[in-house]
Amino acid sequence: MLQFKLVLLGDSSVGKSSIVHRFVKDSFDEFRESTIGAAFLSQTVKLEKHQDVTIKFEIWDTAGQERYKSLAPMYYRNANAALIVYDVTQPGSLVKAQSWVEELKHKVGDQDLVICLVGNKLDLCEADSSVRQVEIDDAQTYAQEQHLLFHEVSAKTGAGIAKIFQEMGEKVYERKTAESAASAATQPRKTLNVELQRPSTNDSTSCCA
Amino acid sequence: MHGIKRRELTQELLRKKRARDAEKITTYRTLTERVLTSKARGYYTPDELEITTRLLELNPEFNAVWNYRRDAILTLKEQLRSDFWVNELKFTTRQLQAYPKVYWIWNHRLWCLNEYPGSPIERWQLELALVNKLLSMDARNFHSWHYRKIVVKRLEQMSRKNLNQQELDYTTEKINANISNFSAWHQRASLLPKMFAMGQIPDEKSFINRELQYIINAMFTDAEDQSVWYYIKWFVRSDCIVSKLNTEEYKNLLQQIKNGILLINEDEKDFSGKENMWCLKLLCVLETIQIAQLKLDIVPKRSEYLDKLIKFDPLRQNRYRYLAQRP
Amino acid sequence: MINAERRRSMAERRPSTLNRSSFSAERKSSIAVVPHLAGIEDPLPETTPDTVDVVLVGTGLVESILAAALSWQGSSVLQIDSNSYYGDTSATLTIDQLKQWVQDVNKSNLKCYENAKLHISSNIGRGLYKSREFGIDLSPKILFAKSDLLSILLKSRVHQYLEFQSLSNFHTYENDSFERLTNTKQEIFTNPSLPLMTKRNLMKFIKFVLNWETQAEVWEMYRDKPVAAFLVDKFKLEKAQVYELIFSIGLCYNIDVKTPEALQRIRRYLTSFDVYGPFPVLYSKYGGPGELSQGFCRSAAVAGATYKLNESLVSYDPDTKIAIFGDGSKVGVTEKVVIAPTQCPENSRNVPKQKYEVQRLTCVVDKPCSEWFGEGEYSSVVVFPPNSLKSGNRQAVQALIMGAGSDVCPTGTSVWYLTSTESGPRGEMDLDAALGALEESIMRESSADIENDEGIMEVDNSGHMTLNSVKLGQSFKEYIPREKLQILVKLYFKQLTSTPPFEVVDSSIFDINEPVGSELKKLIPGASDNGVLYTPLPSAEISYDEAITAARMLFQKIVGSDDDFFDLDFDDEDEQIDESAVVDDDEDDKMNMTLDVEMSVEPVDFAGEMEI
Repeated sequence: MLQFKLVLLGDSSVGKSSIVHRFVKDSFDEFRESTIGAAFLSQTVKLEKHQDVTIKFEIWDTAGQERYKSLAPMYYRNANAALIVYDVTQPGSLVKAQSWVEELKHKVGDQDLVICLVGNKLDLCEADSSVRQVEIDDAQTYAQEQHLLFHEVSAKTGAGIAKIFQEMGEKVYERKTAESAASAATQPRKTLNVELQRPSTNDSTSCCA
Repeated sequence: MHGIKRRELTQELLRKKRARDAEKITTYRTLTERVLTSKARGYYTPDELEITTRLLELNPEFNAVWNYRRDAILTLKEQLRSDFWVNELKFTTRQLQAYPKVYWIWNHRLWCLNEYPGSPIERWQLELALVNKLLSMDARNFHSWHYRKIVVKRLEQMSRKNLNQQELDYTTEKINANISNFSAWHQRASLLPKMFAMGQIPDEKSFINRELQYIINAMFTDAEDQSVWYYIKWFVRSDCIVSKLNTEEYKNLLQQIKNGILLINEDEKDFSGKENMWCLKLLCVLETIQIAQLKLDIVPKRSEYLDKLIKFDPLRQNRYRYLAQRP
Repeated sequence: MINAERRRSMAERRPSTLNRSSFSAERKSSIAVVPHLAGIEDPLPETTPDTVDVVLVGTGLVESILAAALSWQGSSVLQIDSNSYYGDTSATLTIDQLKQWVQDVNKSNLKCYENAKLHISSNIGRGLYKSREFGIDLSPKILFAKSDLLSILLKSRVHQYLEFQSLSNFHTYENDSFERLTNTKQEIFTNPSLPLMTKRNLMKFIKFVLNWETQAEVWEMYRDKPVAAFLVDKFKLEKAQVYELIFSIGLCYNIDVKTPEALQRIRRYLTSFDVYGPFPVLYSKYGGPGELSQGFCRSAAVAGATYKLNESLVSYDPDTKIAIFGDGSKVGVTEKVVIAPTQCPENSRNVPKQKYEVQRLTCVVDKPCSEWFGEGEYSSVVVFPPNSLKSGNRQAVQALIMGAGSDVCPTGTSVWYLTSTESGPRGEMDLDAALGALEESIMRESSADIENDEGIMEVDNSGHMTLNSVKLGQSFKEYIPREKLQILVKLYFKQLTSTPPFEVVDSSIFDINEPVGSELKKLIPGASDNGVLYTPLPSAEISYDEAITAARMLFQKIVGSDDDFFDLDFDDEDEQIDESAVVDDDEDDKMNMTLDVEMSVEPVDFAGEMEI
């Protein structure tokens, strides 16, 4: 099964973790132990547009290191997709998201990422439209300029969440298959990693009887 | 409950585990009852077949259930899907991954291969590749070795080609990887007589000499390894070897081995103060051949060796005493 | 400070977990409110928290491991680093970061590094290679398959952030040539050039050393003697084997190493063999300890630690227990402040003396060096035993070669890390001699023609960048491009450390602040380092051996005991059952043959009773 690394970006308190949690566990409740101990969360997606091919997202949460802009290079490495989240009820939130887009592009350089701009907390606006501080048009325009996907969602109600991952899934999958076709001629360097959690099954008696 | 210290978790986990186990036991009992009842009644249906799958996943050593399964398969032959056998083999593969040393799985797999519609040679070649893979992961699984011999034999029958040389090379490969591989040495000892008999050894004396050097190398590399010593013991008395040498050559062969053994034993005494059991035993064997068979005029040290063996290997002292009494 | 009470565990301290039904009979009704998970979601103020248990200054490897250990144990941690990157003394740097680092080192008053010199080919930056394509370790390391750090990586799951590759090839330099180590039973058995008794002796030794502590009767007499004597007297080994065992397998520094210490180090190699495959050692891709530091910091963050790069500690008052930072913010500290000597405030007192030297020479060369690597591998270790080099080296020089496959440098290049424990100019000469030997070897073994490199940029002692004209020392003259090997980067520096070149790691090596007698038990009033612990700088040791011991020792000083040090039990999530590496059996068949089943094997007169 094809696996893709997805990173979350955005200021603290926009609800990044909630979005992921909703996607992974399809719930929005107090038992959010998901980030504790887990190196990252993973969730599979069946791509409707591609004969139900299943892919897996390896989702990296920032673990708070974004608060003082202290994300390590390891965070971005080999990422295939990124969600940049802002809060539609927070003034200036979109501007902050834009600086995250810049940061991301700076950090990953040439790497080709599928990036989705996500406006969270839609539920609060639907209850009371005066709460909205970021106009959907502004965000949409920006996303188009920067060639980003864009959705407004609510992690609380679940609205739009599945759609993001479905769309991201399709895009990363399409990119990957296009890439494989293109580089079929060139022999990619095969590096075989050692899996630390899988020791060898051989009898450990190579040195003694 | 991630990252919570063991103390706190223990109670909770134990409770959960007990609940899970209780559930498993109930399931197992239910399945068993059902299968054995059907078996007694001679009742075979696809559903029952499925039940045996679940039961065997829980307990692959339940031979009665394997038997029932086979009977069910034969009875339901016409109703089976076209990919049934492929899936059946996959089932045994999965089982073998989890339980590589359960005889009943190997047995069932073999049965499947033989029942496999057409049973083509490619299937058996794949089988050989599979068992080689298993042996590369655990070179000393004698189930794998035994199974391998059967597969090779089948391939020989089907291809009408003798595979002895390939098999000999395989044992060399395995021994080189780890000389403590009893099965590999054993296999070698069963191949050589056949190969000699079939004239498959091109230059016999030269082969024997190379084999001699090979085992001397092994003996020096690891003088504690019983597989090497068993092989040497077999080698020096094996008819297929001895009959190819004239008396001088045979004497020479024995002497070379003896010299090596004496060196090793002296070194062992020097290092640890003790003598090497295997060396002493082999010296007795060699001496017996030299005196009784070759009528060499050497000082018999057999009783001295046996005395030492009695002292250093007290578990077998009765045997040594018995041998000491014989001429 | 000794805290006799066990600290409350992380579970107990987290408000969210207190509501867990697993600890109480009643289940709280599902509230659609996201609870507080430290550091992740609540609208927290933009300044640092008011109070923390521990402030860690510096994100070196030991500090990062400590941060994770403390955070999982339940302590609140703030970890800062004055650099813009993680890793500090263990960092993995791009070329641009390296340039900056050299300048900082040469300007700095901190007595941790000296004498940094850097040459960079103009092919980097405006030419063929980008700065970002390189990851240069300040303190390169290899990870033994059987080691405390590896166990902690597994336990903490930090290994999931990292990628590891195997390293099988160890070479010993002798008589101007490199010999690859042969030390497995398989290699010994199949080696046609080893005499039979040598094979026996080597095997005897290997068997012995795997359990050496339990056989004191064999080595007791040699306890205080050099191991070389032991190996020759007791196992009758020849010089070639002795040197290989001591310097390439044991990775010891000089011939005087005592028997028990050497046996421990030799055993370390042998028991690591076959844990994951036919190799003893692993290394992490993208960089060594720098990557591990990032990994442990992330783990700590996940457990609730707060991170601030580009932040320095200005002062800490042990009376008020207030720490003040460079951005003006303050934090109250309930337990300790832990500081890396490279980042201590100006007025720090009682900073441990860094009296040992580790001299390093790091080169990036325009050669893939795959001739030196094992099959499917991208790195190797080369050891130059004492007296093997033209410089007459008294101490061994150890080299770690990293190829592009480890993703620390671009395709076609490789990084050579050379280290020596020799002090002063002798050390530099030894390093140069080793570099020369490697150069000669790779030029001999590969046949590419190298173009001359035009325009070398240098960073000299005063931190200025100058073009060409090498004036920095006799030893560097040889490496002007008229020699055929193109060196893209050449970095030389001396690192100081309080950790002596140890034979066997022991917590006492790091206990520099331990009181001796009643004298130091009294805290010096007014001293700015009361309530402060200093971390050790990396030593010359090529393995990660020192890291966990040091972190554990510091943990114990803070928490009171090391019982809770990574005492973790993460639930197993999503257990992945991998496809087995077994041949898939779904071929279609068309032939029609049936055969008899024969289930038995002919008996062979082989393994009967050993009749005599």
